[in-house]
Amino acid sequence: MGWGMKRIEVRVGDATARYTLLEDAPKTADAFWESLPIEGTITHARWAGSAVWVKTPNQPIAALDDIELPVTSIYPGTIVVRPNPRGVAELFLSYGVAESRGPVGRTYATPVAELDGDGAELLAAFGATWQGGSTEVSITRAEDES
Amino acid sequence: MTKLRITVDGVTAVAELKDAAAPNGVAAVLGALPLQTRVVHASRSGNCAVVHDAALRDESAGIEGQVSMYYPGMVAYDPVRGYLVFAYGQGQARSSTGTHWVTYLGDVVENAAELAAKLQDTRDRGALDVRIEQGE
Repeated sequence: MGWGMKRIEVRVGDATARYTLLEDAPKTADAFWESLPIEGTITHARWAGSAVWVKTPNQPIAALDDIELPVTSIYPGTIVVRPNPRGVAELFLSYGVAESRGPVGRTYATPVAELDGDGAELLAAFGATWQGGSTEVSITRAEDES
Repeated sequence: MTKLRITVDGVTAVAELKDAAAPNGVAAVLGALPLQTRVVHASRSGNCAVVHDAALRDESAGIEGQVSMYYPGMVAYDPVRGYLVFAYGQGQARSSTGTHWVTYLGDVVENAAELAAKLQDTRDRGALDVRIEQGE
């Protein structure tokens, strides 16, 4: 795709951090980029471990029905995309040890972005949803995006 | 038969415990009661919520009637970690290092659906207050 370094910004309350769009899965990453901004509610994972997830009906990411670069491990500070047959895309944002999985075992997802720096405040905000409950998230293109 | 009364957000449910199959676990949990603490949704184990309290920890109790899978209405106990697990759907004892065995401690027999709704609520609302005491 050759897009240089595209960056996005993720905000939860007052906590923000920047991520770099990955080029490893260009079709999915491009669909993710074209679907921004994404506004929604993050809820703590119940199977995946230290991660939150948000679903979005935004196009074109919601129309993807394949997993371009299947991974199970969701490393801290990574965003992955998982298609959902109900016409939405599920984004998982990890803040610790996490794995794409469900009731019957491992599932797969495509990584699309990676945190710049440590993003400690944002990751703490993700982790706080476990005890504190769901909250709003905003995922946008960074103003100086490239 | 030993019973537990579990109260979450105004809903009280009753669980019957497996005195014969899990005598050490039942004794360990009774020794921690009454318990006023928090119940939080599982982050790796699926459709269940967990009470984690140091008072519940009793490694000498061991694992009895060992299970890994959770089913709706099931009460499970991990004496090593000090966890009481209340399942509202399918789940499994899992941590960051894999799957685990736990004690099948009992089943919710009264107000199971109402309690299940409150446990499921912890997904979106976060941790809730819980009171656990011995039932009549």
